[in-house]
Amino acid sequence: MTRRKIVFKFLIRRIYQMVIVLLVVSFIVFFMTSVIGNPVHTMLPERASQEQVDQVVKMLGLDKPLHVQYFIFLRNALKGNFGRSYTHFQPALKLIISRFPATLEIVVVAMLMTIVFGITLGVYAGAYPKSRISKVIMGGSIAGISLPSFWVGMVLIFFFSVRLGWFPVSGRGTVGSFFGIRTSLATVDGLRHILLPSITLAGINVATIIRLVRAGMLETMRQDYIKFAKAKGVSSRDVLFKHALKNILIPVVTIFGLQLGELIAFTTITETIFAWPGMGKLLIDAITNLDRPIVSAYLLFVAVLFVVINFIVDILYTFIDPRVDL
Amino acid sequence: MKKSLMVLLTLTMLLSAVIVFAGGQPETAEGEMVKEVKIALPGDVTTWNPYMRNEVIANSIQRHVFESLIESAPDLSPIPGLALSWEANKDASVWTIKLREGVKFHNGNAFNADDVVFSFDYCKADGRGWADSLGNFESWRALDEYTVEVKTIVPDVLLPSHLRNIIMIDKETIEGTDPEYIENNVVGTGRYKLVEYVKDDRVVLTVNKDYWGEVPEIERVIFRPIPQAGTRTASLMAGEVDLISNVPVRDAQMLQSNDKVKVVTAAGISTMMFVMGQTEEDPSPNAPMPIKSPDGSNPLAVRDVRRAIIHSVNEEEIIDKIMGGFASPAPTPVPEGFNGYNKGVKKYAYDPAKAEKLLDNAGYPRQADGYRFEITLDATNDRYINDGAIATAVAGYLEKVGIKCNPNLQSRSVFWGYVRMYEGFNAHFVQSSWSEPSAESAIIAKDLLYSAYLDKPKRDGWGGVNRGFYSNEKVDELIEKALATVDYKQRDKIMQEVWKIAWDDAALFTTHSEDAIYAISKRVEYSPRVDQFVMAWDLELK
Repeated sequence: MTRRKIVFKFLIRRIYQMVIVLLVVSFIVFFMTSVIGNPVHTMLPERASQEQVDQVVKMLGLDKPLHVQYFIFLRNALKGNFGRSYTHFQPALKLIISRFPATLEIVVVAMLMTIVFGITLGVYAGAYPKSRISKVIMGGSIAGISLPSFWVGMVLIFFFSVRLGWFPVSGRGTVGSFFGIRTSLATVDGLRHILLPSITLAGINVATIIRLVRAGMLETMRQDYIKFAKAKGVSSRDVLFKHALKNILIPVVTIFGLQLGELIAFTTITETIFAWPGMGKLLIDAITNLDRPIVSAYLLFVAVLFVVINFIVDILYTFIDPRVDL
Repeated sequence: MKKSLMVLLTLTMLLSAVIVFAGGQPETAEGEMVKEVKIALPGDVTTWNPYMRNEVIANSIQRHVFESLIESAPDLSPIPGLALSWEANKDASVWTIKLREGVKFHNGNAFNADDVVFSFDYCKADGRGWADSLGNFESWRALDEYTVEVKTIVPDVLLPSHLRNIIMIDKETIEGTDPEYIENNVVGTGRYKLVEYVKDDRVVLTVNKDYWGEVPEIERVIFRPIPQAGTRTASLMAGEVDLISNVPVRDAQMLQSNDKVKVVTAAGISTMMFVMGQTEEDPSPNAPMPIKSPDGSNPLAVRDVRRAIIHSVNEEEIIDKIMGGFASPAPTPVPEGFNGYNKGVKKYAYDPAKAEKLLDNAGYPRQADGYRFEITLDATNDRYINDGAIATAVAGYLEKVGIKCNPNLQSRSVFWGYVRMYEGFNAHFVQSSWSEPSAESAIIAKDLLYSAYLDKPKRDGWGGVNRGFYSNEKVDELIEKALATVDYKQRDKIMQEVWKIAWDDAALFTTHSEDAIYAISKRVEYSPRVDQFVMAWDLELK
């Protein structure tokens, strides 16, 4: 079979798996959000009469039996309609999509930081484990892994915004246009706003990648082919990045993919601290308001995202190591 | 390797330096100085449909753009808004409202009686947060271009206070559009126009120079939703915003020692309230932790037991220790200045010894295990300031006099359905808060005190939050009478009696009302409102 055919077959199999995952997720999400409370009571004043309650229950379609509601939900979801948010009174999916760019911005910047700092520092610490710089890097990575992001965020705000006044405390700042895409990354003011939340997000990931790369490097550097390459007179940079790094990339890419999905899906804490108008903040508000359309649309969206990212990661394996079977 | 790492680090530092210093101060529009204030609230407006949400943040922001026929002065007294005057017929069943002439919507359309009729229609058809304000409206029609007539189902002397709730929208703009249209076409008559709305990030308002009243001094207002209290405080300290609301007590104490900002507090009107299910029959047969008494009776049905419970609660300690001093004693749910406020009605004073004696005499002596009986206190833990801690403290006070009290704390998302009357029958002792922005205690009494029976309310729409099933014919009669008395003074007298009787009966009790805590930058002065609406025209630039 040609490579393209293999990829295609793999794609079909993955789509099939995705459908099953989504069905299961939708089932769990729907029934979980149905039992945690009645959204009608958070929407109406306390003194609302039974008549008013019934009217709203009917309007939201909550008067039908749960399994009927579920099938209506499924049918509408297939058409891309997750219902109207109970608090914003706008289509749930539209609300999520409209927040997506803001979340993607801080995630992209955070992931770039992860690649640049995680891999370079990790390679260095693995290649020269005894140097003083390596010890500092490893100490820093312990801190990065163990400090919770809400604390890091508040400390960054305190030093860089309140004390030094270098960066704004919160918000998204001016949004500019970049090749037709509206993003904070296109303006200086936007970049100033993005930096602190991105660092907060990146912290734990940089630390994880550093430790992962270092461990791999420590092992690889002892291999015969590295010694051979060195003996052959290959420059030390080529030894590290062409010979050694390439051989430890598979676990790194796997973790990276998982981190990417997790960041996009659950930036909640960071977004709340920095009042960043992304999806995470929308989710938290939706949960406290029992806004079922948003919660269910959100979780399904996240499920699709994870499946897609994992698919891409699997494809990437074959590029890193052609021996890998799909 | 080392070299390339160094190059990379240098580049990153250069880039961050550019970002840090190139930005500097955000420029004002067109380079000229605009009188601008930035206000950070814990939430967003969430909707521009003025009838959807009845909640203080949405109300505050919307009322910069929209107005109603009658407005509230900072002390809650009714003042003319889009209506110039309002008049009732003899028994207050037909109201005639004269409108202000020459008022224009932000799009230039004239405001007239058609808009009033349309706004009532729209609210009635699709209003969720506010439709109950129209509950007693039978019909409404335009008599001429500037006169509207409203007929009520039952005579209603307090109709003006309902009119305060209903915002006026433009018929020409909204009529015949789908529900989403109103979210994106925000047209009001208010002091400010909406310029930009970025959900969860900012609301930018600019002053309406054609406003019919006094045009406010501040030309641009920016509302920023910042849910995290710590971030709000940091934003103020960094000088990014001029006013923050909902300052937590610990931050308020810290900010008081910072000379760049100022803490402003205002007594609130929402009072922490405890109701006791006082029917002979158990009002909470479905409670997971039900009432347990030696003889199987409901001790809360006995007046002296309820009095004993009130005697055992130390409200001063709650204010001092739990609220950090940022609260005021509230002997009744009727704040001073309200119609019906009775200076003589007080909370049964803290006196555990007296409580024990009352309980002994009421036939509930301590049993072998040291307890007299067992009850459960249902409360929220994420709705009011330190609500969970307050409930735990109250349970502790009852414990001391021999009543075993289990605090059952829940999130507000579940709580309201759990304690709702005629739904779960889960609760017999409930802590929640009550506030009535109309400053009419007759409305408070109508909701909280008017009789309700275990199987059904005595009268539909009355006693809707009488969760303790308090019932007293005399009180019902007086409430009905007050609500039919147009004269303010007479109504005040009747209502004073209502509160006296109800407190004699130990119908329910209140402990304190939380202060609203704001903090402002040195460039502004702020005089807060009793109803906690944050209005830009209450701010003054220095």
